[in-house]
Amino acid sequence: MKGNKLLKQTLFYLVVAGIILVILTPIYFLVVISLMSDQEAYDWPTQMVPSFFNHFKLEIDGNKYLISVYSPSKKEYVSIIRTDNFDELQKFVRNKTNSNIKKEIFDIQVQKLNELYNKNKEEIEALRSQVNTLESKLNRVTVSTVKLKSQLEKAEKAGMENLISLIKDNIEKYEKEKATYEAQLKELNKQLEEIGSVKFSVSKNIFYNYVRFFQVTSNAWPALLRSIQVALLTVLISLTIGGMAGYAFARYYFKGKNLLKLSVLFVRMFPGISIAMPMVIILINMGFYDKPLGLSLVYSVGQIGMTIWITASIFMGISTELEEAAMIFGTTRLGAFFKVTLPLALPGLAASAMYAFIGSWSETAQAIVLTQFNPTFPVVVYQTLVGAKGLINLTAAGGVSLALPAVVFTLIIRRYILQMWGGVRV
Amino acid sequence: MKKLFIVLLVLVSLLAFSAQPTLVVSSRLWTPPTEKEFIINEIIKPFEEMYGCKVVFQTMDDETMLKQVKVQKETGKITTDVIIAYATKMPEWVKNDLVVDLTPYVSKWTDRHFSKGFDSMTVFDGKRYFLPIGADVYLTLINKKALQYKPADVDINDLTWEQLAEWANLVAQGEGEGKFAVTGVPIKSLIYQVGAIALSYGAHWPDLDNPGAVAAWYLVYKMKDAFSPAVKTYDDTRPPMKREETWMTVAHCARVGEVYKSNPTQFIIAPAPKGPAGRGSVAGTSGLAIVKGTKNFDLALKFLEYMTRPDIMVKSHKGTGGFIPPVDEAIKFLGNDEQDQVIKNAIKVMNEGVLSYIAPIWKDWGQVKLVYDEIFKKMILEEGKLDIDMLELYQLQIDAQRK
Repeated sequence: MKGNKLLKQTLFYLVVAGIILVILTPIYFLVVISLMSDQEAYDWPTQMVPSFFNHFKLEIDGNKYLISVYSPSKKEYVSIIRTDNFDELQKFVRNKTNSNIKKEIFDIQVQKLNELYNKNKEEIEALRSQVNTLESKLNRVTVSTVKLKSQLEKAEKAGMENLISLIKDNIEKYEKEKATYEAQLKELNKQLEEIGSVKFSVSKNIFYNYVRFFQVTSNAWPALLRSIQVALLTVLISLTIGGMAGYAFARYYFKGKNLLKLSVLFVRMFPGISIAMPMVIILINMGFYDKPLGLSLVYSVGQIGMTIWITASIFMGISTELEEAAMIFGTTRLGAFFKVTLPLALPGLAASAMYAFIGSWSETAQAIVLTQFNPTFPVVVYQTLVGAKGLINLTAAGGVSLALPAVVFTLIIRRYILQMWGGVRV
Repeated sequence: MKKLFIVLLVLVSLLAFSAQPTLVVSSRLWTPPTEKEFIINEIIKPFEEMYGCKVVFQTMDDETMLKQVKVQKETGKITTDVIIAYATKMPEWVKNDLVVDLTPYVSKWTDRHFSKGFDSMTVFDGKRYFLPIGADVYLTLINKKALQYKPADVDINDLTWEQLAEWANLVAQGEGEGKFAVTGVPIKSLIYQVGAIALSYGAHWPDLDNPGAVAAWYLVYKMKDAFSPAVKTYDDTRPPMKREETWMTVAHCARVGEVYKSNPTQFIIAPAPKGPAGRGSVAGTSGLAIVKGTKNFDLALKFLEYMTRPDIMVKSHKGTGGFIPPVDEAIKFLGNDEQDQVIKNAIKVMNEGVLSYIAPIWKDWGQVKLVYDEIFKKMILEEGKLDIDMLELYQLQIDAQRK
């Protein structure tokens, strides 16, 4: 009995933990990627937390500066650019690592590096020459080993026992040679790093992707404001019309009421995109094409049905006796509605507002077709996503920016929604 | 009150007359946000200052652009002035009478010559409707990590498909898994990647019932272990190459250019490999056109003239992806920096290559792409067995897609 209870509890918590994991993991991933630099976002395996500093290594390679950044995944410095132009280096490093190397810091490091390089010039050159020689030896040995392994597979398949042992011996010989070269190469690179490079750290602008997202998508700010406008208009239209209709469905009895109530949901069953093209022509003729009002009108069509259903059920839960009592105490029918029914229906209206806001806020497919020069924010984010296959961090920043206002709106009205879940309280 | 009314009227009239003309440009080219930013700030702004106008530059896919202009034509309210469309969509623009014949205007521009190779896509019945602006071919991209497996006799700039296949197999053998990237997600670019091989072997691409195509698929079959284990999930070769999950690819020059420029110290860029018939590549171009019925025709023409100047073309392509400026005079404006390397390699493929284009003879090009995707998935990845008789059957599926 006790064991059964324990099993049920364990299963319950496992399900809860699973749900949390399913919801939170993608959100966490999106937020973390949005805070990572291009270098970090594509450093495989990707780190669980974004870094706050970048560690750089500066070397002289030929007549140019070679700059590398530390990769926590690879546990080594990874070269990123070789140039003699500071402006080019600064711009590249900023875009790649989200760190801005100031001229003064760079000059100090260059001075240190020059002193080091001049002091050890001959040794550095000799070491580099040895590294090159070793690398070509390693290349030869690696290729030979891999070729032999391939031959071994074939020989084993063919059952050529006399060849198998011969090939195995050769592989062993080459692998020993390879291990020696690798150890030597590691040692030479370590020496080279000590006498031929300087290291320094620069803080990372953690919100650089957000800044850059709004910089490179020049229409992002106006689009963001436009989206807020569209969402608020949609809320207003759907609450006004849907709320009134919901009240009528709750309070009045008329022929075909249930059929009509059901039919308002039919609108939601049609994919919005299928009516988007005819809508373009209608909106152009009405003069609302590419305008927030036009878009909110289209969005409201779907939202009104949902609002009717939510508000009707809420109004049905509010007893008519309350309105009658208010009228007995001297208020009018309208007064009873505004002073008694409406405050009690607020949670339902808040929930409808939330659905309408989120529904219009994140809608993209119709907005692409129904706007041209005045896109909404999801369209801008979508366009960035389409174009930025190789810039995952920038897309993530756009995605988080898109979600944020909807989250804020939901948090503002959450009190009312929680009330609704708790039922109407008188 | 009367005076106030007159002052307001004058102000409104002044504002109306002093308003800058606005040119609306819709483009399928330069969609990555960083490229769009460069084009707006470095290329379009000087044009705006030069002609005292405003240019609204927006990017979208070909299909949306075509739909928008069709609706504008239908409602009689043309708001898009200039479009940049891809070669495969150009016939539809011309067929629907949506773009202007530019022949009489372009013939007066003597300082530039559009690459003849793209005339078959941009000129219809002897009339030039589109000016090629961003041409594309296929290039090789190698992560330097793969160099440890490079056979000694291999010259990356003169690579053959046989050598690349051998090299990719050595990498796979040495690393324990394949490191070669192609797009394994259906209806992406596998058909072009295999197409580059097929053309190098003298195939009549995209047909499968010829010796060149069979040779190409045999090479792909020989590379069956060289493909990354996650190849079926790649819809683009940029992400796996950037995160070093894969080390080698032959892909579209703009994609290759983007990865190369993200870390020029880590990657090597080279022309597409060659085969017995030469350096094969599928090529294409985007083209500028003026929308029929535009109220800003003169300004639109000035914009086209400006954008196709050889120096402007080189500047815009250097600042963005690795597209090729399809104007013969552009090459003299190229230098030796990293961006130039991408363009130079692409020009090399374009000039020396065995090129083929997507002919406008297909009912649904996506279905033709699917045939290649299916062969790759079934014969190469799943069964690991090349069945030439099946290739002939698949050819029937391709034939069914001809108009």
